[in-house]
Amino acid sequence: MKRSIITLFVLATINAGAQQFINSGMIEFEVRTNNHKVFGDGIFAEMFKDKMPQFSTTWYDFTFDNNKSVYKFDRRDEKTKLPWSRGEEEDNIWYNNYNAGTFVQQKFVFDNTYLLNDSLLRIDWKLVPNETREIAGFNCRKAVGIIFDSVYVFAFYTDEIMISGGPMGINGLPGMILGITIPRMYTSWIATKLQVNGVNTAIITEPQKGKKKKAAELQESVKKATSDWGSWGQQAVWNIFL
Amino acid sequence: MKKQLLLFILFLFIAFVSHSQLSSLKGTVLDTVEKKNPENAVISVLRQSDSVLVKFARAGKNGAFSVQGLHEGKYIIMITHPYMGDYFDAIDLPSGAVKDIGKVYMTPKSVLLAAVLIKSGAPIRIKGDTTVYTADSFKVRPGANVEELLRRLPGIQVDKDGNITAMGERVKKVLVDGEEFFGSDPGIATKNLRADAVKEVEVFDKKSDQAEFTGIDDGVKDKTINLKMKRKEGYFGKVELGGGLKDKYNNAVMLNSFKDKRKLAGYGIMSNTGQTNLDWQDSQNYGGGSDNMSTGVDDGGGMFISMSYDADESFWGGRNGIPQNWNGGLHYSNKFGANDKQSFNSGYKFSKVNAPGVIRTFSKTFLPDSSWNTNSISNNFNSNVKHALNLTLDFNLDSANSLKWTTRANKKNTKSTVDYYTESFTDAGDSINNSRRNSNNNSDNNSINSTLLWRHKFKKLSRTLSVNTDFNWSDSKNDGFLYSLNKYYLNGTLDRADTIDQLNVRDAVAKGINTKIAYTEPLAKDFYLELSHSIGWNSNTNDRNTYQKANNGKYEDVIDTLSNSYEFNRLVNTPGLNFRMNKKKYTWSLGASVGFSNFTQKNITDNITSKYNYTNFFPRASYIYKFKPSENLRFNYNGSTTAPTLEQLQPIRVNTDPLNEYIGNPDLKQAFRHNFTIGYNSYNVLKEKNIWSNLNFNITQNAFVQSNTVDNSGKRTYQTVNANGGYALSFFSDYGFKLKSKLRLGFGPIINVYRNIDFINSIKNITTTKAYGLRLNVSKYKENKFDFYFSPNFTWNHSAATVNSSANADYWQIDGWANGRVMLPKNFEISSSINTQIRQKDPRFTQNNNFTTWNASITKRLLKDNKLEINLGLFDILDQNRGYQRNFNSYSFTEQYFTTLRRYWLLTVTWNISKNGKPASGF
Repeated sequence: MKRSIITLFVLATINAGAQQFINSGMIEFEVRTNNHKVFGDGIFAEMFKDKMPQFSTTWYDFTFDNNKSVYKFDRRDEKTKLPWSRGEEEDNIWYNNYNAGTFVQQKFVFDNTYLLNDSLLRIDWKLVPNETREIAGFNCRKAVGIIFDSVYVFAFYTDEIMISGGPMGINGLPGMILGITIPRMYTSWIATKLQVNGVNTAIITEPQKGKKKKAAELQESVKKATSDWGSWGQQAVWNIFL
Repeated sequence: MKKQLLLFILFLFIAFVSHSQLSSLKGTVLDTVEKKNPENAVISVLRQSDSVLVKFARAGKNGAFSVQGLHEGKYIIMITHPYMGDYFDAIDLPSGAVKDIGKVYMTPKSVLLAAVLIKSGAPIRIKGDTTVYTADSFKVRPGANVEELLRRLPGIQVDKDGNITAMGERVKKVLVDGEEFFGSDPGIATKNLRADAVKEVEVFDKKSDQAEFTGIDDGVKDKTINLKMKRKEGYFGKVELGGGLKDKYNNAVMLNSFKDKRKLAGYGIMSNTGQTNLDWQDSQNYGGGSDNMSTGVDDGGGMFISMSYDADESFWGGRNGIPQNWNGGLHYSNKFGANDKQSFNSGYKFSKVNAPGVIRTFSKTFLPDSSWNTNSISNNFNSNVKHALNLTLDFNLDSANSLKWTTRANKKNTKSTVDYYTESFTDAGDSINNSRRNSNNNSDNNSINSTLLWRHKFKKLSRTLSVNTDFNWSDSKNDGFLYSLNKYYLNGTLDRADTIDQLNVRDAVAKGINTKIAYTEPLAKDFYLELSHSIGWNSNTNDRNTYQKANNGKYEDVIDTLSNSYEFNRLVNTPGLNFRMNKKKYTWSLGASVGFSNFTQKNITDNITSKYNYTNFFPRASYIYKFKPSENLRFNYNGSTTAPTLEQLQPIRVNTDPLNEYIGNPDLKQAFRHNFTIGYNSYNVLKEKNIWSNLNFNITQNAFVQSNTVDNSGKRTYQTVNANGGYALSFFSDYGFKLKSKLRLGFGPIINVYRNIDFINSIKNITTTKAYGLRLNVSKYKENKFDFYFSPNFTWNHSAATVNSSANADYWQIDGWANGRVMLPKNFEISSSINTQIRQKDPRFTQNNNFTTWNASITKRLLKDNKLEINLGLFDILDQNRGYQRNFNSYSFTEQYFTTLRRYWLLTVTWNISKNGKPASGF
């Protein structure tokens, strides 16, 4: 995993006072999925495994300012692309307004683009204050949350970045989430760089494209339609509504 | 009134409680040493019971903070700042209070330098920077978890909360066999795994760039514990004993024993109820997997799984006879090297199938100037013994190169005896001919097929090279004794009779080597060039010798007209070129290959050699337009050349059926087939609606067709000739949707049109067969409750020949299929299926040929994990099952009845055994 950290402020200035806290910028996340694990070990899955890369990697940008953020696709590692992936999800846009506690998402869901709005996810975070980890040059603390009733999210956040956000709709910690692992989705989201200066924050606007719908409403119909799919249905719901 | 007052008071009370007053918290954060202003320090309020974050706030300019909106309760206050040590405090917050915790003094991290004491001295292994403990040398009580084990290890401490410290450093991660133990904290892994399953405990600083899936430790060195587990070892299998009076049985034993990546599996089956092999799931778990199953990704980006069935490998189904079979197999596979780079797969299979059966045939033949009836009965017995070996070796040499070597060897012996009687007579009942025939055949088939595939990926994305070489050899020896007494009548009286008493010896050898090189070059984004070249050499020889019974009772006299030795060699060079474009909205490909073939036919007996050179063109084109990911329109064309087989070419008479003799035709040309497909698919996930449609059209130039010569004694001689004008068209469509009641409905038309050409006594005959139908299906499914499926099909059949209209037919037919399953309390399950076939009466066929096959079974599952299963199955309850076929040919129609399994019952007890494992299922 190549790592390039552009931390445009200097960490060494420990006594620099209040200005080390960051309110605005762009964080790049490296998203890695273990496809073999997602496929499981059924008979067909085993047969498909040599037709796909074990890991797929993509990069997403989280741009934030004024307690609002936009999270969207940047690029992918073409070598690790799944052969049947068509990349419609690359047009997805997550717009979060942490002041109002709401989101607007432009999501491609089974053939159609939707413009979903709802309240931000409310996650009960259990803090594990003694566990820390350095991500993209920031010292992060661990927190464990549960989404979709039973799915564990392991998050690492830093209080040096003021926004209470994170990749996709994950939020609610006292600082920015720079690392997430969701074991049941066999996927991790890790910040690889932060850019503070020269970020185009004008892109932080509500997306406009798509059929307007309440997210919870669409989630109900997706759940219903995929109820017979077993674990594939669950994965679909998680992938769509995170 | 009183009641209302009470209610009012109650209401007030509820309102009061739900409005219970919220509390808040305030204070000021200060820096003890450097007296700086810790602005933006995070004040997190956690619930004391479970550390869940309730509220948080950031300190203001002077370090002042306030957290509002807290319910009464016990909390932990955690104050953090990037450059200061953490502050924790426990508080008890009463209802409605504003609690001031006053000044909080924090210490900069630079001051917090603690010395780390490293314990050492224990007899443990050090491998580089890794410390290794052998788990078994540290005694723990039986059933202890890993945490208890860790406590015993010198240098490792586990505190009362399960936090682990190793060599004085906090352990951040616990891996199991190098992989993250998913869905858990380090503590959860150590609490849930048993100590006696651990082989070694390794402690090291984990670096990034691990090959396995690591999760969040990017670029970090973390103190990590890796639990190396004892090898995963176990087995699973089943013993199935089924019996039914008076003579039905179906027994099977299957076992898979695994140790790490090694798999050793075996099975044995004996049955006389048609289970002649493993089904595909059992094949994967207890055999070496099925060769007939493959997966892939198509041009449209869809994943597909294809399964095909080998006639003598799969279930018996409705074929002639009641099989009695014995099957067995052994499979061994293992993986070696880092990341399982090499794999070895091998297996052996044995099968023996005995099938006695009776076929009765009734047919009527029409020639332009005459017609007659033929009835025949065949009593046959077949015995097949097959041994099969397979071996597959996979080498992933490095990330760019892989080698795969596959070898299959088969040895098959077939013995068959046939006792056959046929008679033909006119409509008035006068005999035309009759024949009694006994034959005894013994054939041995041996074959070897070996394939070596090398794949190379270049540095440039999508640039690939593969070389595939295939070698095959097969030898088929056949000895057949034929005794036949044939009588021919003229105007109802015996005209002549002849006897055939001969031995047919046949030896056919086929060998070939074929190599294909394929190279893909990305020309531009989403645009590819595929170059290929294949070269193949194939040789077939066929020795046919027919001996007449000599006076001394031995079969020694060669019959020249029925004996011949022939050789057919082909050298084919096929360069190919294909362009492919894959866009989000569409995909197309266009290409062709050209086959330059050199054919040599050698009639060794007559010493005649003829050579031909053909240039064959194999064009192909496809286009897919994707309206949406799950809606597309597909078009496909491909053209292909088919060479005649040696059997079709060899200029010899085959008289094994004296009333139907075959003669080879050395003048056959190659056939060229055009295939067009148009399809439209759409699936709306949210509305659960689908449309699948497919239209296929096939037309063949110089198609191989039959030319028949029938003399007035009813004897037919036929050979293969080339003809144009035949085609086949088929259309299938299905529209499916779900009703509110979760009932799923689907319906669609079926259209099949065939135009066949053949020749009768040199007259060209065109037979047109049409079938138009409507398919319907209704289903409902509720997980773990019930499911049912009902599908009736209505078809109207039409068949017309130009040579004579007497064999024309128009009739409707209904096929119905239904099955259902209900799960009952106490682990009972009932299932049933019905299959009905109803055909319109035809005055030409007098027998009733409508029938319904009804099966039902009840299952009871017992013991933990349903270890024991008892099943009572009733098959063909109505005793109507029938092997039946109706055929309208160009100048004849035929009805065939063959022996098949009829009503029986079977009581089956299945015992599932397992230790640490279970059989894999489809997905």
